[in-house]
Amino acid sequence: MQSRLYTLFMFLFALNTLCSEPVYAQNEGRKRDIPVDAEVDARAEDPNARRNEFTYTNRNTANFAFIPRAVSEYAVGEIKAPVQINVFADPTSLDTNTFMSVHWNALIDEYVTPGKARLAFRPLIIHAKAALAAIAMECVGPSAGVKLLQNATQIDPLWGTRSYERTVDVLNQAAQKMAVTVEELDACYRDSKLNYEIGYWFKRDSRALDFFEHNETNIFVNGSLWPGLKFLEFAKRHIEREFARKGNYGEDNPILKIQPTDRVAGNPKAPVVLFDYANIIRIHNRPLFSSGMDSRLRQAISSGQLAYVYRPFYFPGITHKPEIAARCVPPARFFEFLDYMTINKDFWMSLDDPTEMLESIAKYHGADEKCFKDPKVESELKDIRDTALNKLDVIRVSTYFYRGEAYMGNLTFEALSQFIEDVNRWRSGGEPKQGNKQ
Amino acid sequence: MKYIQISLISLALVAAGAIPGFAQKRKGIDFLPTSIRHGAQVPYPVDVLYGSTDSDLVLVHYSDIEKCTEACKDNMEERLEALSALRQDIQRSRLAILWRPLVATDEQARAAMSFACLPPEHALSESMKFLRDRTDRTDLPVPERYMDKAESLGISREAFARCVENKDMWDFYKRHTNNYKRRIAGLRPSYDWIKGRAVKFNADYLRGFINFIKSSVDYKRAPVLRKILPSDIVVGKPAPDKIRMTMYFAPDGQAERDYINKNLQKFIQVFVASGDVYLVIRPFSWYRLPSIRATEFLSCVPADYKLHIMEQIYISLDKWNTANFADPQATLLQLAAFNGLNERKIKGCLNSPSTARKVAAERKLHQDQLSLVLTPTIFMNDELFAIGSPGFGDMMSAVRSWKAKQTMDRR
Repeated sequence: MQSRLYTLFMFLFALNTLCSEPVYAQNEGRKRDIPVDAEVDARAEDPNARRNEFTYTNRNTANFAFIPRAVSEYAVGEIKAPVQINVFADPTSLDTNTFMSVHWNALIDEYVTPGKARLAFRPLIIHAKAALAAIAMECVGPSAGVKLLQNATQIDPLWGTRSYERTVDVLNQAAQKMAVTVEELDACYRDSKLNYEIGYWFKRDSRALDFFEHNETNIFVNGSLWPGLKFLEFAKRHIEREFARKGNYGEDNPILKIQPTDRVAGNPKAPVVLFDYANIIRIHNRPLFSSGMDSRLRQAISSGQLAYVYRPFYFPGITHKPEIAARCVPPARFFEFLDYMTINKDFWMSLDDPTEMLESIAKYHGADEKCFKDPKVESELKDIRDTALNKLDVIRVSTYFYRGEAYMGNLTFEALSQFIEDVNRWRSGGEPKQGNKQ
Repeated sequence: MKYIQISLISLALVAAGAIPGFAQKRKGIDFLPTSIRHGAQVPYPVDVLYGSTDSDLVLVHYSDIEKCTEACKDNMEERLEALSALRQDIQRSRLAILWRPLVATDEQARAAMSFACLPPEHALSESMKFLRDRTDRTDLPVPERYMDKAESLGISREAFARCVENKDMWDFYKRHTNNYKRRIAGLRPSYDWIKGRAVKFNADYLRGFINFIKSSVDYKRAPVLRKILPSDIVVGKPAPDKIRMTMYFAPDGQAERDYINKNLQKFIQVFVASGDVYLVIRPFSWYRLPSIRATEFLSCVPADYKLHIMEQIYISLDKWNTANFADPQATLLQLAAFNGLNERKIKGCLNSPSTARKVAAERKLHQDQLSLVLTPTIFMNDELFAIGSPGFGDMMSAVRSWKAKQTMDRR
C-alpha cells in the first residue's frame, strides 16, 4: 500500500514538475502568484479542469500591489511560499500597533518560519504622521521596519494618536534602540528622494487595490481581503486552509445531518440535502437568491428532490445582529422572510447598518421583539458558527455542503446541478476527483 | 517577561480602543469623498508646511512658478488677504497650508528654492507676491535676491545658499509637478486642494470648511432647508408626506453635469413621477466667475424656464465654461436667445448690481446655515444625504428605505 502511495506521489510530483498542463499547475495550489494568460485560457477551454473543481475562491493575486518589492515593504518569508499574507495599514493606527506588537511575531512563528507563508507589511500614507513613520521604517531598513513600530509601541502604546512632535520623539527613541541615531533618522526625514518614493509607491498600491479611503489594518491572504484586525482569526483560518485544503468532510459526518436548529426548505428525507452556510445580509449576492429563491431551486424543493438547509454564519461587525433577527423568525416562516428580504433588498442593502430595518421585517414575519435580545439565541448562533469554523473549516459565506463535500463560491443553479452530479459520481466510486480546491 | 510585556501593551491598546474619546465620531469630514489625488498631497517631512502638522485640515497650494497666467495672478491678492486673515486659525492648528511649487526644469526648480528655503509663512506670501507682481511669465525668482530676507528671518546666508542648491529638492518638486500635471490637475486645473478636491483659497470659504469638518452641523435647525426660495428650481409637486430632496448644484460643475446625465434624469422619471419625491434644485455659486455668472443668469431666467435652461447650461458647459477666470456672459446670453428668451431683458438683469448682491447673499445664507463646502451636496429632508454624486442605486435605496421606515412607523 505504502509503495503504491509512494509511486502515486512520485507520479504527481513528476507531473507537477515537468508537465506544463494547466490543470496540474492548479493542483499544486498557489504555485504562481500571477496566472499566465495562456493558463487561464486553457482552463476555460478544458471542461474537465473546470468541472473537477468543486470549489472556487475570489482570490485575486494578479494584482500589481501584491508583487514583492524592495521599497516600502517589510516582508519575511519566501517569495514562493504557498500563502502570501499582505498587510496594508496605517502604521500609526491603534489596530496596526496591536497587530505589530501582538500578532506579527506570532504569525511569523506559526506560518513563516515553517515555510508556509510570506508575510509582508506596507504602510498606507494617508496623513503626515503616517508618512513620517513610513520614512522612519524605510530608514532603519527593510528587516527592521516592523521592529521599529514594535519598539515605538513599547515606548508609548498610543504613540500614533499623539501629536506630530511626540510621534517624532517616540520614533527617534525607537530607532535608537536599534542603534540608529537621531541624526541618521533626521537625515532620512530630510531625504527628499525618500520622501517622494514613499508616496509614489503608496499611490501605486492605492490605485491598484482601490481601497484608498480605508485606513484600517487590511489583511490580504492570497489576494482575499480581511478588512480589519477583528477579522484576524478568520484570516488565520484562511491561511490554514490554503495549505491544508480539504474538500471531503465525510458523508456520514454528524454535523452534516439535519439538526433541530436548522432552517429547512423541503422534505428533510429528500435524496439531495444541501447545506448552505449563509448570512442573511449577504445572501442576496448569490445567484440562487438574487431576488427571492431561484424558481428552479424552488421547484426542485417542492418536487421533493432536494432539501435546502440554511445555516447561519456571521462575522464581526454588522453581519451579526441581522442574523439574530433572522433567527427569531419562526422556522415555518423563515423562507418567506428570506424571500421578502432578497426581493426587497433595495430597501436595506445600502444602509450602513440594516439591523433596524431587518428587525422590523422580522417582526412582520412573526418574530418576537424580546427574542432579538435573548442571549440563548445569540449563543445558539455562536455554536452553529463555531462548529462550522472549527469542524468544517468554513470561513466565508456561500459555502455549501453536499454528501460531506464542500463547495465554496457563488453557485448558480446549473453549477449546483453539476456539483451534485460530480459528488454523486465520486461518492459512488466514479472517477477520482481532481483539483478540489478551497 | 516578554509575554508579560506584550500582554501589557495589548491591554493598553485594547483599553485605548475602548475609551470613548478614541471612538470615531461622524463629523462633517466623514461625508467628504476622498479623492485618490489626496495620496500625493499628504505633507511629507521635507515639505514646506505653514502651520502645525497636527492641524485638522491641510490645504495644498501649488505655486505656479512655471507659467502663472494673468488669471492666476488676479487671484493672488485674494490669497494673500486670506493668508493674513487665517493666521489665527493656522496658529490654533485648525488649518495648515502645504506649499508646493510647479516647476518643470532645473532652472525653475532652483528659482523656486528662493521661497522654499524661507520659513513656511514667508515662502507662501513671498511666492504669491512674486507671482502677483511679475510682468513677464518667463521671469523667474532669483534666489540671491532673497538672501537678505532670509538673513533678516534668522537664516544664515550660507545655510540659505546650501538649501537653494539642494538638487534632491529640485527633483522632489519636479516629480511632484509631473504628478500634478498627470494625475491631479485633470480637466480643471486648480492651485488649491483639500483632501484631493479643488477648493478656493478664500478666508470665508476656508473658515466654513473648518467649521464643517470639526463638527456635525445640525441641519434640523437650518430653516433654509424647509423653505422654497424664489431662485429654487422645484421638480415635482411639494407635499408634506413626500420626500424633499434639496440639491445644491454649481452651474459650472462638471460633476453636476455628469450626475444629472447619469442619475438625476432617471431618478426624476422614476421617483418624482411616482409622487414619492420632489426635488428642490438650488443653483449655487462658488467663487469663480463662471459659477457666479451662471448662477446670476439662472436667477434672471423666468421661473417656468429655469429647469430647461439649467439643462441647457449643463449641456453647453464646454462652450461657455472655458476657464476659471473668463466671463461667460456673452455665451450665456446667446444661449438665452437661442432658447427664445428676451436677451435684452436678461442682459439688463445680469448687469444689475442687485442681481449680484442677491446671488452673493443667497450663497452666504446657505453657507452660514449649512456649511456647504463642495457641490453637488444633496439633502434628504433635513439630513445630509451625500456630498458628491451618489449613484441611482444609492438614491433609490435611500428613498425606499425612507418610505419603508415611514410605512412601518405608521403601522
